[in-house]
Amino acid sequence: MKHVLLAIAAHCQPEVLKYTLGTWLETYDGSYKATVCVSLASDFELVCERADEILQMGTHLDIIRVPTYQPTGPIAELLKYSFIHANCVKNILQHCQNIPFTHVAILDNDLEFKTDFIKWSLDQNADLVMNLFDDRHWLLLSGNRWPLSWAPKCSVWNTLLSRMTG
Amino acid sequence: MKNPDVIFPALAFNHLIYDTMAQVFEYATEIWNMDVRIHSSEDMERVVKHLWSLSFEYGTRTPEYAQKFEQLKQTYDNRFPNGIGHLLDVKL
Repeated sequence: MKHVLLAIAAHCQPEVLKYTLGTWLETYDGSYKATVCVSLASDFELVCERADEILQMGTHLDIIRVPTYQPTGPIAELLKYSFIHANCVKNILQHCQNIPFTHVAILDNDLEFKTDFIKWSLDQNADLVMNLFDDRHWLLLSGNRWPLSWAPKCSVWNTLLSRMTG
Repeated sequence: MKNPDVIFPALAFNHLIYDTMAQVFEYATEIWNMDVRIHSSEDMERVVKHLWSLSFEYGTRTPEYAQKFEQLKQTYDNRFPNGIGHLLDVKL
């Protein structure tokens, strides 16, 4: 049976994450084993008054805390957002390295599942699934400044990786 | 309530995301022996368009996020009037 590690970098109000999880759970039919790991920045309680609503789900989810990042300057919040999101993903992978998963699904924290696209993805011959930016031109410009050799025209928010079996 | 953005996400610094994610994939492939295959942009577009038909990204990059968040709260309350605890209990 395929075993998917759902890695969700959360930096949102509880309803946003719970809506993502709730709509996924409604479509999840148990055809693959799922382990859900949610990461939160270490200072999450300072920026979210109801952080406990997420922490209380720790009986069902694996919740890890990630060192926060405090940049300074006029773009500090933007830098923090990007850094925290990526660092949360990296920390989930490090935290879960001993879990015998076969696939990793890196999900954004604000999704609505119409159907279980993770199940659909598992049936594809695809090891890397991402979503396109809505503004490709802007991304292509970014790509010119910061070379993107591994994911042309795509963002990194939603990704599926499979572990080699051979 | 504080700013619902939590961490203001109007525009992510994608080069930073990409740099860090590249490290993630390097870690995954070299340490964990994971298989990362890069699709052509045409194949990726086909897959992603299908994915878009299966899911919806609420989107936290827009300046209207605070308004959208209020809408989401109402949607959440209507769709899950008793929360998602029962789903967590049954399915995980």
